[in-house]
Amino acid sequence: MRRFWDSGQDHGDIEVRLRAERPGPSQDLLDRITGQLADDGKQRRALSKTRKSVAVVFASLVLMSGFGAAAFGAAGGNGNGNNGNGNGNSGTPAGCVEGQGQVTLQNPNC
Amino acid sequence: MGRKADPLGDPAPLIRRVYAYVAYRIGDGPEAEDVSSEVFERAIRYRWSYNPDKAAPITWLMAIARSVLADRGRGHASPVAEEAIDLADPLDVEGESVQRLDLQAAVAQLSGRDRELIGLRYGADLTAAQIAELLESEPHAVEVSLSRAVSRLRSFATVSSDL
Repeated sequence: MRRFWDSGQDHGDIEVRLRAERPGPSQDLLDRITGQLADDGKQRRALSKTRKSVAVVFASLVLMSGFGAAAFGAAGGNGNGNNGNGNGNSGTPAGCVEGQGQVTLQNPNC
Repeated sequence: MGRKADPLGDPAPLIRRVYAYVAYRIGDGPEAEDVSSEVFERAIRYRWSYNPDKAAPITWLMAIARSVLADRGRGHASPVAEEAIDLADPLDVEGESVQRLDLQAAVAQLSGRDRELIGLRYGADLTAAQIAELLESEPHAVEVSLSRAVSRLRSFATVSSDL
């Protein structure tokens, strides 16, 4: 009796054969999986770009609303003036009448 | 913060190693291709949750492959491989003093545990340490088990000689 790895011509060990003769995938399987991986990469990149765009728009909105609020406050805000004590003597736009610690709304910027 | 590591950055060698492992487990053929395909589908799904600090890409893929095989309830010898043993009749080959049995068919005669070890070591090319990590064992225990599995493979792989 002989072992199949011990043919007399080939003295290679069974472990070498296990590595050397390990089953391989078909070219079709290799192409299919690498194709799926490439498609997934493209989708991820596109999604990443969309997320970045949304983030930029959101950040811009936040900044703009911040500036808007600051401008609103600087313009006298809700009648208490920008110094908060009702004097409102700095940054009060034209058309706003001050008096008695309050700013009277005369135009939409007051 | 650095960019997340992509475990599938160089896929071709990984596909070959996963397939070889699966084929040693369940036999070479269409089912092994289906399983390998499913392994990579899952890998793509969880690609960006991969943590290189926890495992090498091949170890991570092997964990997925084991999970796919477990889900399919695969762990017994492949009927295809058994068929291959039947076909390997020494008398069919003229001019050969020694008939070599098909290696994969011999592997198919091993127990599920032995095929698992053979597949991980010689199919996926994992080190004993990586196998131990995957099987939650010790590298020395893996080496001993592998040595026994190879011995059993030798005992299955006997052929007739016409000498």
